[in-house]
Amino acid sequence: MLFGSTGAGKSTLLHLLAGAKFSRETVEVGRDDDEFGPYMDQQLVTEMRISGCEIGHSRSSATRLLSCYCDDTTKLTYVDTPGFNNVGDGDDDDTTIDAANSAAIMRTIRSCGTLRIVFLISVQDQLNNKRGGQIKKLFEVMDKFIKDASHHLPSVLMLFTHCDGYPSAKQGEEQNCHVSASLVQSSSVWRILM
Amino acid sequence: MLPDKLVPFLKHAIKLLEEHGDDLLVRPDEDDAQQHMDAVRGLLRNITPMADTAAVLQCPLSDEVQMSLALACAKERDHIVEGLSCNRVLTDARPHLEHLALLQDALRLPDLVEMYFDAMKKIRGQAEQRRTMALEALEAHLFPQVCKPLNRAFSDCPKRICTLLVQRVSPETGSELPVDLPMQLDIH
Repeated sequence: MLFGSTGAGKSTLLHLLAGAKFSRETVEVGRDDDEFGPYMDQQLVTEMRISGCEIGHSRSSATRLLSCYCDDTTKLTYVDTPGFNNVGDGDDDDTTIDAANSAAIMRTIRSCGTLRIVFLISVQDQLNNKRGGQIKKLFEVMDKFIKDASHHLPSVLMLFTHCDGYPSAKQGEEQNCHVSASLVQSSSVWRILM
Repeated sequence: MLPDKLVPFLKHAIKLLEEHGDDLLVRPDEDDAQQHMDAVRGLLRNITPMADTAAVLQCPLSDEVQMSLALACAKERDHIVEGLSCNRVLTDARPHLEHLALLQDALRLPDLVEMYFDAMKKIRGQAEQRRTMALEALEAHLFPQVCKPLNRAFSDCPKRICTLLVQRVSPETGSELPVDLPMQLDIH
């Protein structure tokens, strides 16, 4: 089951696992009410469409429902989950959506024979986010769903996305500088300890 | 201050990065992205899965949200019980009763009123039976089974009525459609 904040790349990963090929194209992203408004940006695009699993290019989640892809090679079923915002917090629309998503995720987990969790962590967001709040939030989500979450860490794989350099292309910078795993480790993971 | 609970999680992240390095970095637009995915698939295959998923699972919603959802469910349940306990359940039968009246109009049957009430009696019998089933399912918290008997009670109504009418139809004789046919049934 894939978990990650909105825009971390869960749907993209699901497409990749399904064999999709991606390229970069200039598309309009963002909305009028976004901080920077709509703007043209280089985004990942693919021809492949997995039903119910849209790849979003804005800050709001494009995934509304759980979507699955069964991999015949690995005999694994990958489940894409909607991005969580406010699980258990507040009483607004987000809470209602999170409640519905929680019920769907619990139902899916119950029906699984075994469960592996994949956390997707956006390096770009992690660097932007003070005190590495993204990793903390992901663990909180796991802690809410899974009893004694820390005892089940061997079932958790973490993948890092949006690691194509920093600052972002939105600010007109070239994205040639790939972040390596060692840099992720030093800057992204340890940042939370600062 | 770093929460204690988070420490093992971070240690796990670091351990994964040390063991698997760049295999953990997803770059979808690279030429060898699919080769890289093979490595990711391998990692996924090799991690130890949680076996007893039902046992490890807990509701992620806060007590406050769970309480408000429970209240909303209780309110909804009360509405259903109220609807099942009064004649409102039979408003669903109205289109079928209208259908029956149209059929009667088209066929001009001789013993129309008698047949109409006969059909209504059958509908009422069905509705009472189904309502009982629905209430029993509701009491037993078998929620997905609540709607089933109610839907069945009326979905095949026109078919049953048509069969009834076809069995009785006598094309040679005709009669006028009586006015003021009752469209409501009383179940108490």
